[in-house]
Amino acid sequence: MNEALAPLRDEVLDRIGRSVSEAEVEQLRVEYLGRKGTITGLLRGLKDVAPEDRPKRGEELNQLRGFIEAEIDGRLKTLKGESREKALAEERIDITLPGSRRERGRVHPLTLVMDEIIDVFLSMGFEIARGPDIEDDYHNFEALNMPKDHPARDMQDTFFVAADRLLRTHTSPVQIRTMEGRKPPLQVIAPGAVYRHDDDATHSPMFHQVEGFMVDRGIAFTDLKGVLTHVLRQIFSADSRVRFRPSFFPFTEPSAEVDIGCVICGGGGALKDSAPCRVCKGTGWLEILGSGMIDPEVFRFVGYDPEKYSGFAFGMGVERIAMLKFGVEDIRLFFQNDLRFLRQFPGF
Amino acid sequence: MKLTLNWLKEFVDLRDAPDKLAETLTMAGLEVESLAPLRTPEGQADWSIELGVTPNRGDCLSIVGIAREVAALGGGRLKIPALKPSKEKANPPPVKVEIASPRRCSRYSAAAVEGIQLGPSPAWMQFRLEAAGIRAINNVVDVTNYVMLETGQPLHAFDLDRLAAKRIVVRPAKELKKFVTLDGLERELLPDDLLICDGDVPVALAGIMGGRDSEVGSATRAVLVESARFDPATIRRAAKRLGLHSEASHRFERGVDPEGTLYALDRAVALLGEVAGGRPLGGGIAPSRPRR
Repeated sequence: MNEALAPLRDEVLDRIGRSVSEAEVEQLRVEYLGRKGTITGLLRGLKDVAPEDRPKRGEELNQLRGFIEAEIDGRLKTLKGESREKALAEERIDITLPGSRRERGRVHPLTLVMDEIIDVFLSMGFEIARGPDIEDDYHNFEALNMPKDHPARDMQDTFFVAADRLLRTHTSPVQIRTMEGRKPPLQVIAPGAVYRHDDDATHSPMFHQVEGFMVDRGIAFTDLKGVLTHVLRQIFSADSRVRFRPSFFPFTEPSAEVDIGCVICGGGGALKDSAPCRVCKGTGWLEILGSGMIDPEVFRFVGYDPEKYSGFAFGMGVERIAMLKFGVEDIRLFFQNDLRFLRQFPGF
Repeated sequence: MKLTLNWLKEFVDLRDAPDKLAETLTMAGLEVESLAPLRTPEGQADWSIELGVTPNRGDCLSIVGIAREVAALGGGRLKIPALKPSKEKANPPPVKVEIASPRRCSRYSAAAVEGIQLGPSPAWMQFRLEAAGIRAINNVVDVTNYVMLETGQPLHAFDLDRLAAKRIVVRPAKELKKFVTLDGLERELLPDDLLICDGDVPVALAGIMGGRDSEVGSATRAVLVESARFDPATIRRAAKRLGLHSEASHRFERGVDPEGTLYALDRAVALLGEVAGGRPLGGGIAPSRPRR
């Protein structure tokens, strides 16, 4: 071969040798042998070579072109083989490995507690009623004996969605809706979500309540005490201490908060190291639900004769009960959907 | 409602220890939210009690009210000190009082006190105010707040010399659209808002906040103390709309004792004499028989 072509040949050989992909090799083919390639250019230049030198020069160039073509084809073949082997190695399947299981869902801790509460009431012959989450002022406040300018409205910071539409602040409107459509005797519970403008470790803007009421002739405060004591002992433990403490709700009279003996310190108000119990703040008691005898005004709103009928009503916070049952200190954990938290509760 | 036990003891001979008293109150519907030992500026032992007062118990938003409750629960003997109404009566009275809106204001009593030396109130008074969550300002304002906590009757003090007409008129705002309260903000009024006027000039948004132009300040030498009963719904609507919830509006919304305005006024006049050098000048009351 002509010595003048040797550097070009070495350059091409070197570049082919260092190429790592098929695309790169094809690029080299274009660069040297393509229509505007180096070798093609040299062949075109033959017409300017002296006629006597032309055959020799032409032969040399054709030889070089054939040589480069063979080198490129060879390199392509090698690269193809390598990538195939690589793919085979990568895609190799160990058919003896066990299959991956689909993750099994479980019941959310709040649903768990809600179902447990509902079961207790169903076993006592209560039925379940539901109402809309978006309520009007009349059912959420007015008919529950909370007129427009009543300071008791401060007890429940409200989300309004329109002039007369709000997110219900309690499940009590279901009482009104049920009584509006039916006559006593009634014993009903109304579980569901409620909304208040509150957000901290013990308050969530959305939480759950189980409301309940019983109306008939001759229902007395003793019925309220008996039913609620039984329910709390079913939910917590058979020997839970229960106390009824006077309070105020606009829709019941008299009203009572119901406390149970603290489940953390056992009701003593102090822990083993005699530090005051944080959960009950050293009182030995935990406020667990609100209750009372339905106010005669409420009966008038739904067209019942308060001289004929009486009844009691109550409402309990599902999150509060779940926090105490499971020892959860921050209500927000229930709504963050962190699997590490949710997996700690029993499955089906 | 936060208070100290020694203050309560001025109105009831307590029979029980603090923790027993707390238990009694909690089980009567006045839930004790906290109970903690304190020491007074004179070095005496005292206790701080915080009560959760439900909206139906406006009568328990005062030391006297809680003392009454404790006594009724068998927790001790009630001893509300009788106050001597001041004998001095200026002739003619230093102010006249007119209620143009009796539905919204069932009683308005006012007493003038001269010889005021404005300054800080004594340490014992500041201590009790702060234990109740109220910041001490000066002896006149502190006396009005102190008496409010003690009796449940909110009071307001005007600078008497800045009331030109010396004629108090309680009336709805009507066509009046704006009023500058003592925090310096211009407030938009609605026709139904209740105003206290000096003649034709508004000097306070009834039950909510006084006006800047009649505010008690360093130049004050005489004051007019207001002790009135306003309609709960009127006060609540205005306080809510203007975002001006205060210890006073909180009590008016829940209803104050219609017969209690004079007792609170006499107490304030006596205390102004004690802590601010005040001398009673007499006052005005309307109507003489309060509507309920």
